[in-house]
Amino acid sequence: MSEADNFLDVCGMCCPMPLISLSKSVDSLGSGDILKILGDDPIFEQGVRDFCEMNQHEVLSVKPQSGRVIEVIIKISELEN
Amino acid sequence: MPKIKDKSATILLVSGELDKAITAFEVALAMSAMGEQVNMWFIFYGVNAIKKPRSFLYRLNEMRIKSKPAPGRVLETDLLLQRFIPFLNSSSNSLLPLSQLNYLGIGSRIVKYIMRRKGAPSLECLVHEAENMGVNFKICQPCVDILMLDTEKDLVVKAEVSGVSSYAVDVSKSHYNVTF
Repeated sequence: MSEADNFLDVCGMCCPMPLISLSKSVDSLGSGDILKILGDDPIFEQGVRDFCEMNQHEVLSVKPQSGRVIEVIIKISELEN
Repeated sequence: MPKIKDKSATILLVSGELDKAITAFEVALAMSAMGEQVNMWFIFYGVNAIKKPRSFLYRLNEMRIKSKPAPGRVLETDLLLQRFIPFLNSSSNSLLPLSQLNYLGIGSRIVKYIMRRKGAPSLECLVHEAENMGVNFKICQPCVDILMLDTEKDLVVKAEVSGVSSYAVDVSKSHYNVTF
């Protein structure tokens, strides 16, 4: 798996701000790009999964980090949406 | 890669209470982030959620001045009684009450303090984000006329004045409709 070249940190943000930051950052990326997201919201992982399901992106890996922080790596869909 | 928004959602806010306004804006932002075009409609006290906070003296002065032409206003049928409405309906974007446990505004302040401690965005922040995300704000024309609202001066966002026919068009086009 290639190393993520795009990084987004949404630690300390509360629902729905992580989703908005994620949406804005995905808008600025091209198709096939890989994005690494760090967040500590209790429902952060579920939010990213829902976002990916709705927009046909792919969740590559989910890794719990120290504390409540979770690292999620997603791949932007190849489809032009 | 900006998304082409093919789906849309329509949210109608009637109530001028903090909890309902926050819910409406959170739903609008989530829908917008998921890639949908969101239309937000405001009627009656719902407009308070996007109104600028004004001081007591400003409102007292506004009551004195005769109303000027503004989009959606019919000046010929204005009554003297109507001039008291902006003065009495003094609630604004930062002063909305809670629907329950308000306790003359103390409950609302306590809830806002807890939200700030938790890092949750305030209503002002949500309105600003919604504007940045490209949400369409629309206000009902009769409400503008009755509540003496100057849509160019009194609102924190740019809003369009339309009628119920465009609401019907929006509602029939969108697949998600909700009223708060």
